[in-house]
Amino acid sequence: MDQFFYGLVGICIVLLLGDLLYHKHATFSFESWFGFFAWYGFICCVALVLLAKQMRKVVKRDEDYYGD
Amino acid sequence: MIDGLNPALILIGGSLLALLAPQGRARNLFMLALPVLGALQLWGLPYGEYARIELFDLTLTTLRLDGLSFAFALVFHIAALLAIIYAWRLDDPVQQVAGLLYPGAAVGAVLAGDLVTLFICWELAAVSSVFLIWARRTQRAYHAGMRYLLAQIGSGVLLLAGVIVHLRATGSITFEHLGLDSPGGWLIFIAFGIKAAFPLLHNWLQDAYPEATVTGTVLLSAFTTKMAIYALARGFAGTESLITIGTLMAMFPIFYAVIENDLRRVLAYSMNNQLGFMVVGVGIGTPLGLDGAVAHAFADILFKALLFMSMGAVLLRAGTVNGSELGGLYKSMPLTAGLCMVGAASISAFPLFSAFVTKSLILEAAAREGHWVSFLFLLFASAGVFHHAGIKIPFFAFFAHDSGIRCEEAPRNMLVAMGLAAALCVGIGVFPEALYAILPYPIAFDPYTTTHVVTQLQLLAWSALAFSVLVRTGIYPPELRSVNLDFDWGYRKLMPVVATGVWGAVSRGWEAFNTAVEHLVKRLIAGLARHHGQYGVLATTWPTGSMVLWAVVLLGACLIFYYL
Repeated sequence: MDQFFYGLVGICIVLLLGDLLYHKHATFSFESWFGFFAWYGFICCVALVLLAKQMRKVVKRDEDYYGD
Repeated sequence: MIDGLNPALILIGGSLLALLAPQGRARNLFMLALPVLGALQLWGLPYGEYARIELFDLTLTTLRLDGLSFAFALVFHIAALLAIIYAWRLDDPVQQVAGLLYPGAAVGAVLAGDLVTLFICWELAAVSSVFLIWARRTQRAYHAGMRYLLAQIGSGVLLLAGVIVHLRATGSITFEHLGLDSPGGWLIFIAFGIKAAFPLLHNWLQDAYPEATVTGTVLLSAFTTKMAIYALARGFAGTESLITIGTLMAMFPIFYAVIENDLRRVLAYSMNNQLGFMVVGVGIGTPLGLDGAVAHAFADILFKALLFMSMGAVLLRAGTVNGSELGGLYKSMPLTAGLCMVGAASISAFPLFSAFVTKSLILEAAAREGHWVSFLFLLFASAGVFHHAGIKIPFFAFFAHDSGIRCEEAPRNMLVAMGLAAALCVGIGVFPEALYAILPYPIAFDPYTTTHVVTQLQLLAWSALAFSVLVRTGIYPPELRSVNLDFDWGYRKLMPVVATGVWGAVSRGWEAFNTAVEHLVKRLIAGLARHHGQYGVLATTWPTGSMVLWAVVLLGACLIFYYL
């Protein structure tokens, strides 16, 4: 599992640095920020999980809550 | 090709004839031939309007073929074909008939040139599809099916009301662009919105689909919602509010998908999220946006069918699709695991897989029209869909910790169906021009630019990194046996409680009223009895003397008044 994780970290860094090697065609200015899609994806996923975890406190019920 | 024959009739007519064929290979081959013949008929028909029927003083155009209807009708035939192969070993006439009638109704709906034919097919699809839920033959599935049917019929009733208003105001039943301002427009819009699973109208989908049979869920995932996307594209293209609705749809289900335990329900939430992308495409309404919506619906039917088929195979073999009970299944079902990962890569929009070339049309359309807020949210949703459908589904089913479940690989027919779906997903990803060629509007779009490939890979790889970091640090929420409250809480819990409360209050009030009236009547009777009863003062016989006395009193009184 460790090998897989460090391999993924390597791929992520390579892809991030890839931004330096080509001219990015951007419609919105934020798209051309360095590594925008990388860190936006990372932050979104962390935010998604943390928010969903908090949501569980409100919406989680027993499996037979609806009684059918 | 038979001139003017509606391909829907091949599936609908065949569904009843299929029962005449003996169960087994003969019936299966007959059923398999139907979508093939239907697709050939569809392919052979030139674009145009056919099969006009006079009904009272209305003219129904039961078959209209153009770029928009063709793409949907074609992919509906492919989905029906895949489902028949997937269900090859199924010995259940109910599901076999429903499995042809329901796709037939959906094909009929997208080919309908008028609103009345659309309504008929809309309802036929609703009624035929519920049997795919009831065929699970459990109490839970029965209840879920009833709730599903109520939502579907509700949509049909609104559609009918809208059509009547529209007909009275305009005198036309032609199904063309309507818009919200047209008479009955709102009613029809909400009818479509229920089936497209708009936010707050969505819960029938996540409630019912995971309760259907193994094959039923695969079929259900393909038709109803895409029929609604077609109807929105036809009637409400360019309706600005659809951009907001679609963005919300793409966003909120992903949070539920993260904490949901039933992996088929995770897929149902993820489906809602993908529908959001299509709704945004329709809302943008430019040729690129509409093409994006159609292309993404086409791709979604295939990869969602593949994912539901793989989870169906897991349900069949392992007996459960709860993430909390699964894990390590790649040892028992390596082929299913591999095919599931093709579906996961497709929905996640990896380069060379289908959504990469279809979802990007919608994002590009949003960008070109300057919808930067929607663009950012859709990007969030893209990362989210990779997270829950791309990683969570295969990870918790086939990898994660070893659950100890050892079972057989999926049956060969299921593997063939999944293999075909996977081949189509990759085929669309590698040769997007083939799909672009059948879209309603001609487009010149190259999805394989350096920018698109690199940025998409960055988004996906860093999302995967986020998942890995969260799992390694123990922050990632574990899969738990639970139910998560969604909007259906309103009608599954709140409404029964309120109804019981109101009923209790009304019956208590009625009881109190009855007691009070009874008490009053009793008192009245007692009073009457006291005065007029056997010993009542007014019921006693009076002596003659008292009469004489009163006559004297009266005469005396007259005398006094006379002198006054």
